[in-house]
Amino acid sequence: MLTTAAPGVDVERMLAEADALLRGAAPRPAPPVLPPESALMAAGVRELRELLAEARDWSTGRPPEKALVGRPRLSRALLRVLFWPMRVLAWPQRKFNRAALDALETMLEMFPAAAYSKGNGAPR
Amino acid sequence: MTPPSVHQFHPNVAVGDAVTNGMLLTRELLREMGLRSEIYAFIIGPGLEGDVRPYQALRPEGAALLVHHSHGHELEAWLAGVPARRFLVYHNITPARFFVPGSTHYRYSLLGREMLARHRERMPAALADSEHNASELRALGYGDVRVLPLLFDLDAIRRAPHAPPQALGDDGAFHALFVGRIAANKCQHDLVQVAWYLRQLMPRPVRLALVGEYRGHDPYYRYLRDVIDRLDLSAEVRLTGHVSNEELYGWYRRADVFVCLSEHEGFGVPLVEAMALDVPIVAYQSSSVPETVGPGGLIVARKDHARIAALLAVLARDGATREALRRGRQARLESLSRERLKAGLAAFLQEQGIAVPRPPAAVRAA
Repeated sequence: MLTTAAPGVDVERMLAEADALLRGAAPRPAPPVLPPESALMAAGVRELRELLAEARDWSTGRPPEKALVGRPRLSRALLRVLFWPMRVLAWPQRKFNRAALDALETMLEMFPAAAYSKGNGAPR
Repeated sequence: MTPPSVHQFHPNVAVGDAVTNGMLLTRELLREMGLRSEIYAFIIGPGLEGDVRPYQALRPEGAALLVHHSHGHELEAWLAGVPARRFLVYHNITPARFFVPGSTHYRYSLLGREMLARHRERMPAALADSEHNASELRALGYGDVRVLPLLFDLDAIRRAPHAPPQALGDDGAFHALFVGRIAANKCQHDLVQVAWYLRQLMPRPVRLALVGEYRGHDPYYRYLRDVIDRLDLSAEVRLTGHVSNEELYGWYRRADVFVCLSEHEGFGVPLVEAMALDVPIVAYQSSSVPETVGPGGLIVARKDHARIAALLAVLARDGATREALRRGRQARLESLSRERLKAGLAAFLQEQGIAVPRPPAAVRAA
């Protein structure tokens, strides 16, 4: 448990004193803490979800609302009209994209449970 | 006759960064030895614009280039085409498991290790901060590796002005310190859990200062805040964020002990700073840490938070052990002196056939 390369340090005595101190003081155990990996994994999953949500906006085949916000009425109408041929041409690809997104989201749903089960609430 | 040039490159430089500080020291040593030397980088942090040059300005004809490597980057192709003799300076790479999966840092960690294997063909000779880092290079097939931690100037650390930490009060508290950015590999959450026990074991108030940069949106920072709240230690634990050098040295001088429970350190410059400013060290046995500490501190092999806290409490009242550790620190620091680093650098360059106009006395005599 304890080592040192410093000459003159009595490691065994230090450990014995530390154990005696713990026995005497009997400190309350710390509340369980999840390991940090769970927080990092959860953040990774959150980022993926945001990316997927963005991808889904585009896969609906409608111009994303963000692209229309703040534009004059004429520009918005023009954008919608221009988008129609794209919708028709991209229909098969959209169909495939949406299926892929559904599958990805289903997989992602399983992640939080996997991430948190590793820590199981116990301190390392 | 124009003196030879030995320049340096790292993709990014920033004030307070350990690799950057090491590059500035190396440039100073190279210039003292009569060599021309500049630092080149892609991303140049605020405050260094006049001191470090953009990599596009590098004119390497006839020069040698020390290529510092601590993570992956996008300039591998450019680096491969630089017409200069290149030497690797390896600082190790924080493993990807300590970053958010899919994040930029995660990708650059993986890319960094891939690049390390490819660099071997272009840079057969290398410097490494520690034997731990050198052994990683040897395992990848690097044949000519010298251990030389060109990262700090002990004299400068000892001479540096220092300011007492703000608003700390004088309640006779026991001060534990760790220095390093708030990051998963540095395991500040373990230190907080040690503080939970230390508060119950010490006969006086306990403070834990975590000195180092953090970003509010960083998942590990938010996690650490949760741990502090969960353990009800907000009064005892202080996260300072980025501090000036004066404040940093003030924290060291106020500390009763420096505790490091990192699971990965490429070298661990704060361990040397703590030794230089005479702070006892208790550290966890991981990566380069035991080698950096040497005889200058106590090494724990397991993260048993309660037992580590008890050891800190024992050390606080054990003058004989503190004195033995002080002698150990002095012995360790002798091997890291500025003159030794300078001599090591000169010897490396001469071995590579680079003429050093003014080599240090130790190298001239050899």
